[in-house]
Amino acid sequence: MLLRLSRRGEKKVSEIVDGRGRPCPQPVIMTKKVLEKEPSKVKVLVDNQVACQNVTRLAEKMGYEVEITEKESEFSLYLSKGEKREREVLTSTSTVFLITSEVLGRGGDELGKVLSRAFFPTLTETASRPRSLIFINTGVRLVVEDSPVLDSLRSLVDLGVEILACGTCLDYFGLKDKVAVGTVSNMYDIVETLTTADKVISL
Amino acid sequence: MGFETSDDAAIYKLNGKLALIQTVDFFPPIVDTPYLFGQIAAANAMSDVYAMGGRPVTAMNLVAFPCGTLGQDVLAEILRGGAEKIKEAGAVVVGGHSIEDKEPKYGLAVSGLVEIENLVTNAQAKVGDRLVLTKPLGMGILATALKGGEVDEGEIMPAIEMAATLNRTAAEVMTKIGVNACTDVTGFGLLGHLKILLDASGVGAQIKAEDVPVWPQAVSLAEIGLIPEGCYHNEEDLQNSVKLGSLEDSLKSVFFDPQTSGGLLISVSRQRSDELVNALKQAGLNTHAVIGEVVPQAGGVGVIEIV
Repeated sequence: MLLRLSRRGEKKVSEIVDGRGRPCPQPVIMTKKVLEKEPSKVKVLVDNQVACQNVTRLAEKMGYEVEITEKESEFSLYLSKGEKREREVLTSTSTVFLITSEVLGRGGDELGKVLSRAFFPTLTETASRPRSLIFINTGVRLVVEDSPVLDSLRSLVDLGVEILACGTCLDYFGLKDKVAVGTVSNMYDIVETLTTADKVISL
Repeated sequence: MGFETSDDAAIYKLNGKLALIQTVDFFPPIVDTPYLFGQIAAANAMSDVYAMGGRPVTAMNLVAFPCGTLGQDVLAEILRGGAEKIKEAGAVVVGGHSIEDKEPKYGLAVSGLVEIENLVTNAQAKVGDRLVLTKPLGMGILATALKGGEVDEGEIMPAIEMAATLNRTAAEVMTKIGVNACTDVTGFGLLGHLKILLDASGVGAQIKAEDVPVWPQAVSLAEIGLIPEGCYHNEEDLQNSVKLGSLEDSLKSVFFDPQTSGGLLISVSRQRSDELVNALKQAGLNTHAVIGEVVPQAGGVGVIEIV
């Protein structure tokens, strides 16, 4: 069942489980089937205290936080995926950065280098991390051994960010055997990553 | 014995040496296979006779059945299960009664006999006694999971077979050794039936949680909320009589879980407890355990402390 609630005052959920009028243990079984698909928010309706307690126990065991409202002997349970899951969702938002140069911005290379050295450490600290970083042209100089931003890029990899460096570019600059972080990639993968992203930020 | 001590069965003195035991029990199916349901219901009904130290002699079938919706073959299988269990107990089926009902139910009215010197009530537990439980807990939770399709009969067959097992051997051993008090664990769960025994005897108890035999599947199913309504009622009824300590929730549910055809809960003197445990083992039982001991009452109330 997929219902979107947009009435004012109602919480937005991705699934609703209606366990009212169902004999024990149907409300638990129905909820379990839904939670196994790992939705972020679920609303469960039951009409007795026992079902309310049982669904709560199930939801908490499966990593959901439970908020209960009672109205005229009907219980609405709002289940939301716990904090840990939230962080994972943020990391896997499909935003891709395309880094086309070792310097950020145009007009002054010295300034561009300074900006570049500030940009990547800052990226490790933001809550919303990209899915992938793609390095092309002189950008590939940032993934090799003496790169000034190597530590930051390694931290991003640890945080689940994918780093792709264009193989053709690395060849061109004779840097293929000096790659210190990420994967040597090809045009096909790069194009695939860019076209399947929700958002592409080009630097 | 009067109604004050809520004992397991009615006792009627026939003469100086012998007493008549009478008890009755019936309920809707808790498993899917009709034959197994018959076996469990019969074992359950006769259990109260064993809890008094007696033996069943006659049984009468109590049947409620939806003749229009379920076939006669289903009823035949239920009755066959019951009949074979009654025969196993050394008793005879002497009749019965059936009515039309939307939901099937089955059980027995049982008459038994007990030598008065062997009679075991629930009212003579003594401070210092050891408490022995003969079957694992968790049948209510397992039946709920089965009903919901979360497990199938095959996955819980050991528990089903245990529910279909007569408390006959346990009763024979306990009367041979000599015990102070006994009850069987059924609808009120371990803690509910223990409380009745403690109140009747004017004592309290300390239970060691890790020593209580439980079906492991029941614990993990309780974790995901497959808990029968009866469990919550039992907990509510006992909220002023049980100190739960640091008992984790799922195990707590198993201790309050309503049982069907559960084991005997025996209060035996400290001196005879080892002998009883060994004799039960010798007789072929392997699920029994000492789960705690009888302590003085606390402030006039039979309190159960779980450690």
